[in-house]
Amino acid sequence: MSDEERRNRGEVPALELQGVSKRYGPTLALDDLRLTLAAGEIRGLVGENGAGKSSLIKAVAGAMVPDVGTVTIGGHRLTPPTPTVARRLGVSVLFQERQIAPDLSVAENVLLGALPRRQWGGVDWPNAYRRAATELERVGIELDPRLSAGRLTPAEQQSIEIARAISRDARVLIMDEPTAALSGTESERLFSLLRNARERGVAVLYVSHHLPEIFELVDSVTVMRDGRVVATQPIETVELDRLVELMFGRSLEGEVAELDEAPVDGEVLVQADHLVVGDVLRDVSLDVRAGEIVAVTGGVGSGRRELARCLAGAQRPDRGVVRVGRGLRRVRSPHGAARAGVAFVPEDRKREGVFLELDLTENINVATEALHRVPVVRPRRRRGISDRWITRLGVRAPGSAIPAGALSGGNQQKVILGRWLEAGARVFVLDEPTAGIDINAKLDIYELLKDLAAAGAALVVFSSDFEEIRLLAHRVLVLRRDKGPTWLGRKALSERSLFEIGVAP
Amino acid sequence: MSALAGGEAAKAKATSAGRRRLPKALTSLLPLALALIAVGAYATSQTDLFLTSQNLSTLVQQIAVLGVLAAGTTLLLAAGMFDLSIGALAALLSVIGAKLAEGGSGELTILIVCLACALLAGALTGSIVALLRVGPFILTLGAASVYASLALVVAGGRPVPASDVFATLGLGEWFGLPSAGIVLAVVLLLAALLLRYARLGRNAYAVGSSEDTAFLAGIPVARVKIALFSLSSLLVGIGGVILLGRLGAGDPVGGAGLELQAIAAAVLGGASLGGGRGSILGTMLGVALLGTIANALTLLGVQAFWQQFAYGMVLIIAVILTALREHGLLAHARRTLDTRLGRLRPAR
Repeated sequence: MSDEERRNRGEVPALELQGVSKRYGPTLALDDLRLTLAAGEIRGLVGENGAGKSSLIKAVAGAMVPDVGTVTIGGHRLTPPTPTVARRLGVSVLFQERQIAPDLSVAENVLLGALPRRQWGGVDWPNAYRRAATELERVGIELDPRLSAGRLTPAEQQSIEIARAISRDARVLIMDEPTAALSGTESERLFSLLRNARERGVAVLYVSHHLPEIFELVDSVTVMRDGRVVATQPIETVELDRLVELMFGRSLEGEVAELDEAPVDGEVLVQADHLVVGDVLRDVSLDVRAGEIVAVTGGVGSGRRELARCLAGAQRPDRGVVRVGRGLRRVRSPHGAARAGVAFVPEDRKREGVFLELDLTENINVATEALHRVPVVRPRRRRGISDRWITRLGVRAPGSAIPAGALSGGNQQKVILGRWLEAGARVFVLDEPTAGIDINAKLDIYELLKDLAAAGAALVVFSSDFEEIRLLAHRVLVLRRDKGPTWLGRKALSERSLFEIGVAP
Repeated sequence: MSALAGGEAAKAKATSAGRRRLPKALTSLLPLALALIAVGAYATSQTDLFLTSQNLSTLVQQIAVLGVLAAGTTLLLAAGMFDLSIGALAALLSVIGAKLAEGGSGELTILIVCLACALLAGALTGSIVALLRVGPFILTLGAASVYASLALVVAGGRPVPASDVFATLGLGEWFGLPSAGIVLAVVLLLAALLLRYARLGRNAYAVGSSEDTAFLAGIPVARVKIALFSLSSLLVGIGGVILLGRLGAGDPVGGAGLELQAIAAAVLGGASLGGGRGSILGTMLGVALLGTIANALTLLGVQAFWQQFAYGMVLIIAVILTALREHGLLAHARRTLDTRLGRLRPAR
């Protein structure tokens, strides 16, 4: 029996990871990971943010070199671990962001890097269009190959990527949150596409937060937590509650003090009226009082990020008004928002939150100095200020003189909070404040946020971490892509209730 | 997290917080200072003409224009920007000055007109970059072309003689020191103070380090950019006047290539086109190195055509050394070791 036949009969696993570990600075992203995937199997991969799912994908795609361990694809070791080798061995990854060249035609995108040539190097266009149409047909899509790819819907762009993957004879197809930008019917079409691929012996690794579709689509499910596989089971043998429990592991409940009741008579410090941004954020209104913590949750493409940026003045809504602070002043820029007492802690900490190369003194004093009219700074005074916040917030750093890039995520986040506390902020807009942060820093930050609320600040926490929402929020605003916003009271909160109404982070 | 716990953090403190700060600033400039000394020493060993007060005065006068322009370039580079039109603008201003002198204007009038024109040009460039979000590269390349052409048109294609105007500033002495050198020293000092102590200077580094972060932290990024372009151009105004005095004429092509030399000097001194880095002290050393090389080559009787070659080689060697330090084998080995030992280390 040839290798090829054995592979097709599923005797050689389509994908195998053995003892793969990867360390990033102080955090262990993958910890002795083991995973086997057979040809013709659709495997769900679930886990909360930071559980190591993206690291696993990168390891298989050759985008990252594991510290130890081996990745084997169809019986061949992935070595050297580069994207080119991974692709040659039959790995195709569809990331959350579309890998589409928007200015090129559908045909060029399907046949990217493999356009048929004429004798003298020119492109054989009739042949290219014909082949692209065939490939699209094979995966059950009807699209004019001459169209410009940038003008298609996200679902159509995604099907181009699938067609591309199949045309390259992908044996292992990895999909990262593929339905985040899709409507219900579009998702259904995607599922039949994937089942179709399964029939042809493709192994599919399907990463999703959206548990209902995991139950609908996959043959088996793997749960990751803290860089490890905690369970792999056939889907028929798993219950929803058990899956949620496996994903979240140890509960923080009991380690965080019970939330105080929200004051009902606090001054309104955030007022967003009928905000509209493109077609992602449709008519959302929001009032937050002093002393209150409001959580906002919703999947990718639900307008969560846009709402956060509107509140911070970083983006102007197409319609609607944001007013903040004492006297509810209208917000037009981050500078204006900061002036009105708004602190913004963005999701992308490294790119938008800290100045990686600048030291902690600069990082902490920057907001205060941006607001005050004093044209000169006094080095010793600002050093004193940053030293004080480092001590008070428990930042683990050997003084203010080291660059922020040398700190762990949790400590960087504390530095950003110190920046705004020094600036005297009273409204806090926090986007995923504890994503990718270790448990101790997380608990510190929860305590700090609750203290801030108790001291009369208004907080809006954008989060996809349900435990965090349950521990912190007085009220929850649920944003959904295709339906209107919903409010949930504190009592109605449970991870399960959020999963069931289908808000996936 | 646990890797950063108590003992190790305390150890890191001893090395990185207190003692390491000053030496770090010095060690990064050490190769440059050594190169400067080496060129000087070589020139001294080859000819008696180099190490004379006469020649050193000349050297200072030769680098004054470049130094003033490089100070402005350092401000822009700190914020991740640059201006390719400064050489052409300096030449245009020197031509305008010479024309005014021809028409009988006094030095004060000329100075005010030159500075005002420079400020206007800078504010305009800065506004387009900041408000319309046009990249500075193409914009200032276009501006350079416009200024160069205007200079030729105004001058009528050849240098406009103005032998007495600003002669003291360009070639003379104040208090026994070359006056252009004094102006240069004052400009460098003010620029250094600005970068270190002024809010604008700190904001410049913040914008250069991460424009997104700066914007979200409430820094009025557009205002910062306009202010930096205006300041840089104001310095070009000063440079144009010195140029006029030194040449004794408004030369429409007298500023050619100065913008690239200014960037080269700043980058030699530790600035980066990516922004967030650079210092006036470093730029000063960079300017001194380029000036000394040119001066020494002349004294040694080397054909002037080789000057650009030497500049280019110095710059290429400098960036290769920097790259080796940051991403090369040495850095890689050190990083690996640091990871193994779980030590604190900068992200880059």
